[in-house]
Amino acid sequence: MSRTLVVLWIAVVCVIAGCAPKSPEVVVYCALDREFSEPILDKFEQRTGIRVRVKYDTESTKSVALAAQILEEMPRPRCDLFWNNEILHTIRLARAGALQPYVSPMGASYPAEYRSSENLWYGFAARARIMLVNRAMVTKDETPTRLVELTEHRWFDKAAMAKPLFGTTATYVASLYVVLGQAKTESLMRALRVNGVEVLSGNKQVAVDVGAGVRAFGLTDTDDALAEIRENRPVDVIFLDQGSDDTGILLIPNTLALIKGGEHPEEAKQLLEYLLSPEVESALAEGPSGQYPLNPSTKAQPPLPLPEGAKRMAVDFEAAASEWERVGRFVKEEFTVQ
Amino acid sequence: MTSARESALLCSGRWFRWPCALLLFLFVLLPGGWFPVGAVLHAEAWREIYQESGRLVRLASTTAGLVLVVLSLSLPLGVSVGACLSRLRSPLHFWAIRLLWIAAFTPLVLYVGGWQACFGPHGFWPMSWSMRGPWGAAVIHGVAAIPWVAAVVGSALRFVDPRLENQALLEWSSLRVLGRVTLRAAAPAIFFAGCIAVVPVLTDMSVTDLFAVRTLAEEIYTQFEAGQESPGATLVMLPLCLLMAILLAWLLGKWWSAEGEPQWGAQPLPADPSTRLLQIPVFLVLVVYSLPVMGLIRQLGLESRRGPNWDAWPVMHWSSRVAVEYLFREYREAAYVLTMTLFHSAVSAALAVAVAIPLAWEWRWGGPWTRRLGILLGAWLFVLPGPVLGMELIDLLNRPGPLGFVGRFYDSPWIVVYAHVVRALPYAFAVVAGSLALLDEAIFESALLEGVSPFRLLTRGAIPLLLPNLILAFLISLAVSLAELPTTKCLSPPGYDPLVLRIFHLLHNGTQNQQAALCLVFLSFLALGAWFFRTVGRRWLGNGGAGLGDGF
Repeated sequence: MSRTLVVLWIAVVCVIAGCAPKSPEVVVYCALDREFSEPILDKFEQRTGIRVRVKYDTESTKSVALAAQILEEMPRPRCDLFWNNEILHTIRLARAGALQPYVSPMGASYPAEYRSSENLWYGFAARARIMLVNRAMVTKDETPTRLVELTEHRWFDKAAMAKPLFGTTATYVASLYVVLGQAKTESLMRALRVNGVEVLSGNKQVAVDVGAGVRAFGLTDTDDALAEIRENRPVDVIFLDQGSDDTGILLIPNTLALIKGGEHPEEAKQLLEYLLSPEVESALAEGPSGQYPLNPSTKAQPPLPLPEGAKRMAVDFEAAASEWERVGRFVKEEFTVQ
Repeated sequence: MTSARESALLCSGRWFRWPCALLLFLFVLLPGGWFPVGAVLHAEAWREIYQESGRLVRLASTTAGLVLVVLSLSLPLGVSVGACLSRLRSPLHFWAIRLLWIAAFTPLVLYVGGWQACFGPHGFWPMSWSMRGPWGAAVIHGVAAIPWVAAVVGSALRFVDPRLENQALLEWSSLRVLGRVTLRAAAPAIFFAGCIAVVPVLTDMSVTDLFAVRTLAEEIYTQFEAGQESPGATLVMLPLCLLMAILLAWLLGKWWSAEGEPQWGAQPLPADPSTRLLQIPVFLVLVVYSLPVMGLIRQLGLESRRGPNWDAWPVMHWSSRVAVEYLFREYREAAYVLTMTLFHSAVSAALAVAVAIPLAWEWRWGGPWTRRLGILLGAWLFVLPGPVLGMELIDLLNRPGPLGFVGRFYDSPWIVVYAHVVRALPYAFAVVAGSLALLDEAIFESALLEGVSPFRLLTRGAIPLLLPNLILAFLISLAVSLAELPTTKCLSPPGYDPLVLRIFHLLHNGTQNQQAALCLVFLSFLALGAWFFRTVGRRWLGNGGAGLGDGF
């Protein structure tokens, strides 16, 4: 009899535990580096009590892997909010019908070019594509100022870049497809390869190599460059292609998007509003990643400001997203075999 | 007295076969066969092979090149060290054994962290070729394989008939006897060890991803992550994996069927000037495994200050304050992650052993074809690339609709536990089956004559006898689960962050100090585990239990 009571008691406890209301939570797929995004998400969790379950990706498969996973999971979405560190693959998700439209009050304060016309995604806190140069290896006078100069023979085997199949390097190549055209971009990429530009696993590795003097130049992002500057490496940031006929600096925004069919839409909206707030943009600007605020209300300035009168790349990201299939094929052929 | 065959039928019993069949389906056939069969039937896979044959051939040749370098590094060193530590007296024996035990269960990503700390751009001996390309990746795979080669070879050398050696010693030096008699007798084990060294190159992409080396496993992983599955690369991998599985199964069979009893108390070969040569590889291995640890400790406390000019190199110095700060921070932050990782890995290991026991029991009493097939299936699971297994389980379990309940399983960390059981099962099966094979049949026959049921024979007879071996199988499975990365990376649900994945992320993104701290935290737990493992192994040797032997 006592054994039966014990079993019954255990069964009742299990049922109660199973029926107990679960604490609110939101599932985020986050492509921004963990060291930058985790403190922000932790703060949201502390403030709201909503548990944030995050899936990060690695440097070598940045953003594309998470976007591919969201597409794969479309019949049964697991993610509620996608925090991408670039824009191209968010647009691809929008075109695939994986995103949930949402009119964000906070998002309305951002410039129109950084939000979807159908309210499917919102851009904030941008990074710039730059060239990092090691000053102990290259003088100021010798330093290239245009991307095409890296194809010159005197810079043979001196530069590095990340795999252009993933992350902001992929966004950069796709943007060049739109701005320069397919033929010119592919010719430039091939010339870089022939001139010994080393392809590394990610932007971080490129920055580390330049900081250590393994390579003189590296095509990377401002946040990775800032890490090397903080480590007191003798590096300098060059904003390429500022001539009147040149492409200009590519500013790549982070993007946020609600996933269609996500299990926690209300919590995801709350998190989206929080991430679009000037407070978060300020934290990203003043923090170690030094991102450029896009919201006019955000007053914080990053430690690495854009040059006065800097020329920005005028790229239509929607067109760049359309180029992705061709870019992917070209990159797979040229950059994914030893 | 019943015949061996009759004993086999009695021991196994029809009641046992159906649960075994279910376990075989759930943990071997389904995870091991779904994707490969799908790739073979996938028209796109054959189209890709036809259209991108040049590219696939280049990937295959890079893979083959990597395999050759790994073999040429790990086999000579591993065989020398195994032979020296198991059959000769070595003044370095004490330290070498302990370092090798820790090294055997160190995940590949930790090797990369240690390598970076020594030879990377900010290492104490930076080499520009070291952090990219096939050479760095090959050295890491080769060094990681040495403990396993040494353990397999050392264990096999214990089975060599001492009478052959004693006879040869009358005419030859110890080194010559070792080479011409002892090692020759253990040839199948040496080839088997070579295969063991090569399998991670075919199945794991953690090193090649960090070093930007394009192999077939790396291709499958990259294309999968890019959302463009490469069925062609999977299809090209399959014959390689099948060949490797057949070779492994054949060599293992040859090794197990070799005559002789394990000579656990065998006297070492007499020392003479010729045997001093074998101390060199042991010394080299000690240096090779100590250097990364020293590099990590250095990296842990490294601080940079700006140089005299803005274009000058920074002044680097070591700070104990920085070292302690990072170490304690990582211990604190990793405590929860480590506890969760250990718990899930322990569950995976226990399940792997629990599944291996009935399968090994059925294998033990099966006919010759059952036994061959059993070894082949185990070998196939062993060589199945991690990314392929990950893709397979996603395809199988991420399902909506009436099968939505499996989706719940997919969303939880238990999907990773399941994958780890599949990865650890070949190891657990090899230990348990090998131990069962060495048990005297007379024990079972006499029990059956007394009317003991097959179930009691297993639970009250075999399992108590094999308890140390089961603990050994558990510890090996635990180590496999802790170190498993490729499948874990594909399957980890949001919010689940095992330690090995955290280290992998940090190697890509984190600061040097943070990487070093986390690597050292993991190593300290491995050292504790290795000490426990060694203690259990000694107790097992002391019992004179059956099994593969620890080789030393």
